[in-house]
Amino acid sequence: MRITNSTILALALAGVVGTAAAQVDLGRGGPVTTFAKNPVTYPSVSALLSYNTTGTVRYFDDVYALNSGTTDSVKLVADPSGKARNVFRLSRLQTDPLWSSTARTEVSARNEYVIEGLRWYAMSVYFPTDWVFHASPTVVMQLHTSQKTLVASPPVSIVASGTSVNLELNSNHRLLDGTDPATKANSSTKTIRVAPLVTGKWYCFVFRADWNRNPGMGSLNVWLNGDNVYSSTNLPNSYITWLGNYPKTGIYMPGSMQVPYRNIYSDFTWMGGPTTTMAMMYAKTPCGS
Amino acid sequence: MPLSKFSLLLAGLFAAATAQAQVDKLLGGATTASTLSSRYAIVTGNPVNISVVGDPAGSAKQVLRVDAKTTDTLVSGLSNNYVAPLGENTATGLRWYGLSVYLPTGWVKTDPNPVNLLTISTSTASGLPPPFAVVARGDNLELSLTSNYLATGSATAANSSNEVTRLGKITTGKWYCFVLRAEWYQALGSGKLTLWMNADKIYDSAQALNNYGTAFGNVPRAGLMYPGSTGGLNRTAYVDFVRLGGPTSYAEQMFAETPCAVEAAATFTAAKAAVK
Repeated sequence: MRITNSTILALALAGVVGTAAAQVDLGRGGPVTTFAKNPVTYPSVSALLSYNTTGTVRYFDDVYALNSGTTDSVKLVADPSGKARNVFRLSRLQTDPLWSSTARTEVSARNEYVIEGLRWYAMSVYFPTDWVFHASPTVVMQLHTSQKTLVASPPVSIVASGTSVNLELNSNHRLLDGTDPATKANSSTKTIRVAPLVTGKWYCFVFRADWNRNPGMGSLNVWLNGDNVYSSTNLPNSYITWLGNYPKTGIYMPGSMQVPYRNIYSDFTWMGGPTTTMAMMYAKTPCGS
Repeated sequence: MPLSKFSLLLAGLFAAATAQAQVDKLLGGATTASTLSSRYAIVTGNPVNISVVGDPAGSAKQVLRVDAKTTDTLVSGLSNNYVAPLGENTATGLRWYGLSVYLPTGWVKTDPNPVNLLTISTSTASGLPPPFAVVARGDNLELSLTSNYLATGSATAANSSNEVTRLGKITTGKWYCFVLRAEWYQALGSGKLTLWMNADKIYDSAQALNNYGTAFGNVPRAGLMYPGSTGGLNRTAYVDFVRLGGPTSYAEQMFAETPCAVEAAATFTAAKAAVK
C-alpha cells in the first residue's frame, strides 16, 4: 500500500479520536521527559497528538504551555515524596515579571479544550515545607474557560487559602449577549473547604466533569486522594465558551502577590475520555501509582 | 387606649422586632420537657423516642435525645423521628439557623443507608428532598443541597439539582454545630448560603439557586429521618434545640446558643487575632 500524507493524517485522526474517547489520553496530557525542543515539526495538530500518544520521548512544548514571566520557573524534578517518577516544580518570586499582567507560573495542556460533555481530569499538587501560609488565595489548579471577551473565574479551581484547601466553582447559565449577558458579577460562585492545608504531602484530585451551562443540566464529581469529596447532578457547571474548558496547574495569585515567594510541585495533567474510570485516572497520580 | 389593647400592641411590636433582630426568642429555642410540644412539632411513630435530657458532652445545657427503632410505627411511610419549631416556615429571603447534632459512641458507621440528622425541609407532601441536609452515610458526614428552578408541579426529585459535599469522617462523642445563613431564592442566578461547622466557614455560595418554588416554605428539623431504609438498625442521636435568627443576626451570636459555644468563641477569637 502506498502511504500518502492524507493516509497518515487519517490514521492519526482515527488514533487521536479513539484515544480521546476512551482510556487515558496521552495525546493531550500526561508525562514529559524533556524540555528540549522536538526536532520534528508536525504538519497538523492531529499528527502531533498522534506522536504524543505513542512517542517515548515526550517534549514539554508538544504537550504543555508555560504561563510565566520567566522561562526557568518550571523544572522537571524527582517526586518530593520519594516515588520513582518525575514531576514539575514551579516557582515564583514576588519580584518576578508578571505574565499577561498577572502573578502566575502555570502549566496548561496546550491542545486540550472541551466545550460540553464528559471529560475526566487528574491533577495533583504537593505543598513543600517552605510554603508560606497566608490568607491571600493561591490558585493551584484550574479547569478554566476559554473566552473571547468575557472575563470570568474558572468553572473549577483548587485554591490554597490560609490553612484551607478549597474547591471553588463558578458558572453562568446566561448567554454572552442580549439584555442580560453573563458577567463575572452575575455568575454563580461557590467556595467549599475540602481539606486542611498540610505541607509535605500530595493532594491528588480526580475530576469527572459533564460540562453543561444550561439550567438543570451538568454534573461534577471530585475525588481527593481517593475519597469522593464533592458531587453534583443536574447542576450547571460551565459558561458558554469559545474553545472550551482546559486544565492548568501551578501558582496563580489573583491581585498582587503578598508573599515573598511560592514554590509548588505539580504532577502532569491527565485527561480521560467518557469510558475512563476513577480508578484508571487515580492510578496515574502520585497517590495512586 | 385601653390598657389591654396597648399591652397587645406593645407585645406585637416586640415580637416583630425580636423576629428581625438577634436570635429569635419566639420560635424554636431552648425549652423544657413540659413545654416542648408548645414550641415544637414532635414528629415520631413512638412518643417516647424524643425526650429532653442533659448534654451527653457534660455541659449544663439541656438537649434532645432522639431514638429510632425498627419496631416504630412509620410516619408518612418512612421512619421519622424529629422536632420542628412551630410557626417557622421561611419561603424566601434571609434567615439564620443554628442546628447541632451529637452521635454517641456505638453509632453504626458501616451501614450505607443515609440518615438525615439536620434538615431544612420543604413540604414533605411534595416528595422533594430537603434544600439543606446534614446526612450520616456510612462513616461519612455529608452536606446535601437540593433545589429546582422549575415551577411547582414540574419539579421532581429526579430533575432537581443536587450537590453533596463530604464534611468529614464521623467522629462519635462530639457535637457537630452548624450555623447557616440562608438567602432562599428559587430564581436562576439568585440565592446565597453560608455555612459554618464548629465555627469554621466550610461552604459559601452566591448567585446560586438554593430553593424550590415559593409555595413551599422551609422548615428546620432535627432528629433521625430516613429517606429510605433504616438498614434494620436501632439508632440514637442527640440534637440541640433549633435556633433561629433574623436579618441582623451574625455567626458568633448564633454559635453562642449552641452546645459548641465555648469552642466556637475560642475559634472566632483566634481568627480575629490572626488577622490583626
